[in-house]
Amino acid sequence: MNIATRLGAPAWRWLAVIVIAVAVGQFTQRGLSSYGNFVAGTIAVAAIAAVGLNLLVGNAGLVSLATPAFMAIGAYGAGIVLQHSPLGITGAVLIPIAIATVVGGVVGLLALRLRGFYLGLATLGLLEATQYVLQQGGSLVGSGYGFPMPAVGSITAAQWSGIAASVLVVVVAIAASIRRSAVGRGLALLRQHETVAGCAGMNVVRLKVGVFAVSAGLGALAGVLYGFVQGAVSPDQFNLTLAVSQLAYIVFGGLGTVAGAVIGSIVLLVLPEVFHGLGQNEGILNAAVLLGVLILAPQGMFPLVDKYARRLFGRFRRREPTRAVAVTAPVGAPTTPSTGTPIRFNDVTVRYGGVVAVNAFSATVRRGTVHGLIGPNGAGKSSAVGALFGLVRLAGGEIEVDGRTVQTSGRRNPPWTVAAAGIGRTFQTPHAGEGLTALEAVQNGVFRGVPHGLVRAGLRTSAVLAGEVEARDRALTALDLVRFPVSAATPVTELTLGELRRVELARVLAGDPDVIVLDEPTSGMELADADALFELLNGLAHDGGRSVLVVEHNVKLIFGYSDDVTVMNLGEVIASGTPADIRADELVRGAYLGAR
Amino acid sequence: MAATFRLHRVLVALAALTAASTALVACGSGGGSAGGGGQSTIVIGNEADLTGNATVGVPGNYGVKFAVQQINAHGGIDGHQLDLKTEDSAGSAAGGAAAVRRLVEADGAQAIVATASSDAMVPAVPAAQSRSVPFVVSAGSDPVLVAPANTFVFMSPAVPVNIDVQEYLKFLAAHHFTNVALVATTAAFASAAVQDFKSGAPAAGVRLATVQTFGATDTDFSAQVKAVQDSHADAMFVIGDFTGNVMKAALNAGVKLPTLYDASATDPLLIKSIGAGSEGLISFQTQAKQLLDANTGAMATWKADFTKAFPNPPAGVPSQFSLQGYQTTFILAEAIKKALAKGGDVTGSSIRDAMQTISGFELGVTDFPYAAPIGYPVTFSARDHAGNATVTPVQVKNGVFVPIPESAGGQ
Amino acid sequence: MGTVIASGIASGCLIGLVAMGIVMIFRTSGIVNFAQGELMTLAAYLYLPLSNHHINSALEIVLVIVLGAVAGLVLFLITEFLLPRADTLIQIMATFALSLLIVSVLAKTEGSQTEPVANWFQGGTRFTVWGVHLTGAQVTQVIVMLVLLGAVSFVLNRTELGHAVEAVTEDRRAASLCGISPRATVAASWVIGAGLTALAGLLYAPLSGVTPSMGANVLFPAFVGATIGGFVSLTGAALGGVAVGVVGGLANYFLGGGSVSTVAIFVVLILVLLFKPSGFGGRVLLSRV
Repeated sequence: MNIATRLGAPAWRWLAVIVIAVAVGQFTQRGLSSYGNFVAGTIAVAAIAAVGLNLLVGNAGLVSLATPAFMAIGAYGAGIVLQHSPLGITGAVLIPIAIATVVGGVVGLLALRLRGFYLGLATLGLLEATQYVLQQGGSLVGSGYGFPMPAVGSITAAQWSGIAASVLVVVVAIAASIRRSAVGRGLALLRQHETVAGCAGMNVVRLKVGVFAVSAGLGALAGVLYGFVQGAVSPDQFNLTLAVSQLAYIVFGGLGTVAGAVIGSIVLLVLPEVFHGLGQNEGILNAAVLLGVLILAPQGMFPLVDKYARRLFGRFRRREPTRAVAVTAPVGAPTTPSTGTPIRFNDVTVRYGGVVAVNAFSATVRRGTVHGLIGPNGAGKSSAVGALFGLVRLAGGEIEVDGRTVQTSGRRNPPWTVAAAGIGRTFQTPHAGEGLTALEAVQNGVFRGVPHGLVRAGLRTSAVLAGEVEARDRALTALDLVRFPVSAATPVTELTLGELRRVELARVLAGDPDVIVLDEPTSGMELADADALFELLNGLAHDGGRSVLVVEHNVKLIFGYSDDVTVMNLGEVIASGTPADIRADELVRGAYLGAR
Repeated sequence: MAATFRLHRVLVALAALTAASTALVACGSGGGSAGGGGQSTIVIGNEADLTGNATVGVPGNYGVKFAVQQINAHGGIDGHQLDLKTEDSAGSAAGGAAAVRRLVEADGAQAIVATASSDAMVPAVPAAQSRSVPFVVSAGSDPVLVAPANTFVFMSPAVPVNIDVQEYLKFLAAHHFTNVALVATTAAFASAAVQDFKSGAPAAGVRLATVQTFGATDTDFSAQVKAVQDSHADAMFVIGDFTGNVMKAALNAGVKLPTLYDASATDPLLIKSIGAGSEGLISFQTQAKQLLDANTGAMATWKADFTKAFPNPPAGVPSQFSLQGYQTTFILAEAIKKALAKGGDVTGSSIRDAMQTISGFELGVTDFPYAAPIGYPVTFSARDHAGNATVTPVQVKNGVFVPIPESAGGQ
Repeated sequence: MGTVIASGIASGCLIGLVAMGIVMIFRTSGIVNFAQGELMTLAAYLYLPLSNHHINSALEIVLVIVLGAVAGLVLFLITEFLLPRADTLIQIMATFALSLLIVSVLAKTEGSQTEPVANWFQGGTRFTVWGVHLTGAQVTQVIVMLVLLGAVSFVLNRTELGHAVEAVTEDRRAASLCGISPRATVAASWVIGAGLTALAGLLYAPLSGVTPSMGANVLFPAFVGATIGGFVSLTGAALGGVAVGVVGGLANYFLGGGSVSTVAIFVVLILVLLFKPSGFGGRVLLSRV
C-alpha cells in the first residue's frame, strides 16, 4: 500500500515540517560558531513571538504592545515551575503557555471595544502590570532580580538555541496553515471590516479572543525558550523596547505575511551584529535601515522580495484555480429549503439618540420572490437592514427570519447569529478582505460551513483540507454564477468596483443562504451588468426558491424585476404592494417618484 | 488558493535563512580567531553600559582603559600585554547578556571586568560562568552576583549590598537615628537593600518609620516626601537616587530631616544635582581610601595622570565608577600575575584559582608600584568572592564629601 | 495631601504640554508621533550648554524653542515627503525609527550619561500657600502650560491659521478646494506641536537631568493624557495630562511608589476607553490604528 495514502496528506506535510525543523535545529546547534549559535537562538525566539504577533497585528489588524508580557509569563513561568514543582519540563512548557493563552483571551476582550492605537495603548497596561509583578512579586520572581534558569537535564545553551530554531520552523508551518485556512481568510476580512465579517457569519468575538489567545500562547512559547537560550531572566528584558521592536520586525518584514515576520526578525537582529563586526555604530545604522525600508518599501521587505522573485522565476506565475470535482449545476436551490416566512419586519423602530430613523416599519418578504425596498436618501432603508442584522438596537418591534424572531427591542443579536439563520447580505460599499484573492474572498462565504477553529487550522488536519476543497469548489461555482469576468486568482486590490460587487455577491451565494439581502447592489455598475444581476436575482428567487430583499435606487430595475415593492420615506412606509400598485400610488408619485 | 505558487516563497525564505546564517558564522568566527590570543597578549573584556543608562558604564570604562594603559606602558603583566575589548551592555538585561556573550565567544576574552548596572549584569553572568571565564564586578552590588553557585564571579571594590546595609544600620544606631524613613528606587539592588534593612533593623535597634519606593524615571516625589513627613522619622535614608531628586523634593517641601544616601550615589554628580541644599548630606563610600573630591596625596596624582591620559573626557568622567573600574582592573591583573607565576597556560580556571588566593592586596603598594594607591586592601577566598567590606561614612561639607571622623556625630 | 495633588498637577502640566504637541500634530497630519519625546530631548540638549554657562535670558530660551520648532519642521518634511500616506501603523513605526535614530545619534555625539541641569528663572524658590508646598519650577510649569494653552487656543479659534487647521482636520482634500494649503497647515501644526514640546523639554530637563533616552519617560504618559482628552482637543490633552499627573501622584501616595503609579495610570486609561471611548475631549477621529 502506498505510504502516502496510508498517512494522508496532513501527516506527510507534518513529516516534512519535522524533518526541516530537525535539520534547521541541528544546523543551528552544530553549524555555527558559539556566538553565532547564541545570536541564532535569540533570533529564533524573537521570530516565534513575531509570528504570533503578526497573526494579531498583520492578519487580524489588532495592535498589541503586550507581547513582552506574554514572553515574561513564559520565561518566568518555566523557571518557577522547574524550581517549585515536580512537573519538570513538560509542566514548565505547558503551564505558562496555558496561563498566557487565558490571559491573552481576556485581553482580547478589550479588542471588542477598542481598536488601533487605542488598543495598543491599553495593552501596554498589561505590560506595565507585568513589570510591576516582576519587580515587586517577592521571592517567587527572584525578588526583582529575576533568576538564572534552572538546568533541564544536560541540555546546553547551544542545544536550546537549536531547539528554538526547530520550534520556529514548526511555528512558521502552523502560522502559514492558519493564514491559508478559512480562519486566515476570515481574519483578513475582519481586519478590513468587522461588520462585513460578522454578517458573513463569522463570530467576531470568538475570532478576536481566539487570535489574541493563540498569539499570547506563541508569545509564552517564545518566552520559555528565551529564558533557556539567555540562561537567566530579569524584569527589564521584557520591557516596552521589546514590544516596539517586535512591531518593528513585522512591519519591516511585511505585515500579515508569515515569512515577513521571520525575515524582519532575522534582518533587524543580524544587522547590528554585522555593523558591530564592521566597527560601526549599530544603533544609528539599525535605525537608519529601519527608516529607509519604511520609506522605500512601506509594505515591508518580504512583499518586495516576493515581487522580484516572481519576476525572476516566471514559471511560478499564478495558475488558474480549478475545481476538484466538476460541479456544473449552478448554486441553484438551497440545500436545506425551509418553510417559514423569510423576513418579517414587525413595527420596527430605530432611533439614533433623539433622531427616529425608522418608525413602526412593517414589511414581509415572501418565499421565492424578489422584494424591492426603495425610498429617497435618509428614508431609513439601510437602518432597517442594519437592524435586521443587529447592527443597531431596536427601539421597538421585532424582526423574524425564517419564522424565528432574531431581533427584538429587548435583545440585540449579533450579525453572525442572524447569518446562522440562513441569511446573507451585501453592502453599499463592498469589502472583500485585505490581501486576499477574489477566490479567497468568496471562500469567506463558506466560513461557517467548513472547519474554522484556530487550532485545527494550525494543524491543517484532513478535515480542514476537505473543507478547503469544498470551499474552493463552492466559491468557484458562485463566481461563475455572478459571471466574474477575470481570473479568480486576481488580488482583490486589482479589481474594479463592479468586480468587487460581484465578489461580494458571490461570497453571499457561496454561503448557500435561504434569504439574500442586497444593499444598493448596482451602484457603480454598468447598466447591462445591472440588468444581468437582476436577472440572476430573479432566477435565484423564482427557480431556486430563495428569497431576496433588495434595497435599490434604480426604480426602473425594481419595478422591472420585483414581485413586491415597499416604499419608505422619513422612516415610514408610505406604500407597499406590487410594482403596478406602487406605480399608480399618488402618494409615492408626490413624495418620491415625482421628486426624481 | 496559493498552493501552486508557494514554492518560490519557500525558496526566498531559504535564501534569507542561508544569508543570515552565513552572516552569523562570519561574525562569530571572525571575532573568534582574533581572540585566540598570541603568546604575549592576554585578552581582557569590559562589559560596560556605554548607552542607555550609562551612569556606571561610561566613567567605569574610562577607569578600566586607564588601568590597562598604565599596565601596558609598564611592560604589561610579566611581559604579557593586555588587549582590552569593550562591549556595550546598553544598561539593560538583554544588552548585558549579549555583551558578555560577545566578549566570551566572539572577542575571546579570558577574563571580564564589569562596569555595568546590576540589571545588566545579573542575566549576563551565566554566559561567563558556563564558559569558566572569571567575571569581576566593579560597581554593582547585588549579592546574587556572588552567590556560591557563581564560582567564577568576584566583586571588588563594590561591596555586596547586604554587607553595606549592615554598616548603614550600625552607623544609624551609633548616631542615634532610631526612627528612619527609607526611600528606595524599584531597581533590584535597592529592593534587596530594603529587604536587608527590614530584616536587620530590629537587631540594630533601628525602627523603619516608613518605606517608600519610586521609579527610576519619576520626577514627582511629593507623595514619597509627604509620607516621610507624616511618619515623623528622625532621618531619611535614600537608596539608588543618583540625581538627588528625593532630597530636592524634601527640601522643596520644607522637610528638614537629616538625609543619608547609600554608597551607590556617592559621587560629585549628586552634590552638583542637589546644589547648596546638599550641605550636611551623609553618605557612604566604598570605592577608595580617598574621595574623588580630594586634591591631595594619591588621589591628586591619580587625577593628574588621568587627565594626562584622557585630556578631553566626556562630562562626568572621571567619577567614583572610574576609580572602581581602575581598581578592579588591577585586582584582575594581580590574579593574572599570580596565575602566570604558577606556570602553564593562563586559563579562566587558573585566573579564578589565583583570584581566590589574593589576600591583602593593596593597589600601588604590592606588585604594581606605579598604580595609584587609592584602594582598600582586597582579600578573596574560595568561599568569599566579595573582596572588600570597608564602608566609610562621609558627609557633604562646603560642597564636597569629607569623611566623618570616627568619634563625631552625624549632625 | 494638598502638596501631593499640587505637585501632581504641576508634573501633569508638563505631560499636558507634550500631549498638546502630540494632538496638534495628529490633528492635521494624522500621524501619532512616536518621536515626540525626542523633540523634547533635542530641546533639552540645546539648552544644556546655556544652562552650564548660567545664561538664562529669555532670548536664549526663545532661541531653543525656535530651534525645537525647526526640528519639528524637519520631521514634517520627512513624514510628508518621504513617507507614503499609507497604513497608519507604518507611519507610526517610521516615527519610532526616527526616535531611535535621534537617540542613537545623541548617544554617539553627547554620550549617554545623565547630565544635571540648573533650574531656570526662580526654579529653586519655595512657596508655601495654604499649607501647600510648591517650588518656582512647579509654578512655572503650571503658568507656562496655561499661557500656552490660552495662546494656542486663541490661534486655533480666532485666526486664519486656526480655521485652516480646523478645515484640514475635517477633510484635507476639501480644505485644498477652499483655497487652503493643506501642506502649509500641516507644517504649521508640526512647528507649533514641536515648539510646545521643546518648551516642555526645557521645563523637564532640570527635573530629570539630560540624557538621550529621557524622551521615552514622558512619551507614554503624554499619549495616555492625549487619549483621555479625546486626542483632538488641546484643552482635553492638557487636562488629560494633568489627570495623569494627579493619578500618578495619588497612586504614589496611597499605593506606594514606583511602577504602581504607572499601572494606576493605565487602569484609569482603560476604564476611560471602555466607558467613554471618545475620551473627554470631543469627536473621535482616531478609529483605526
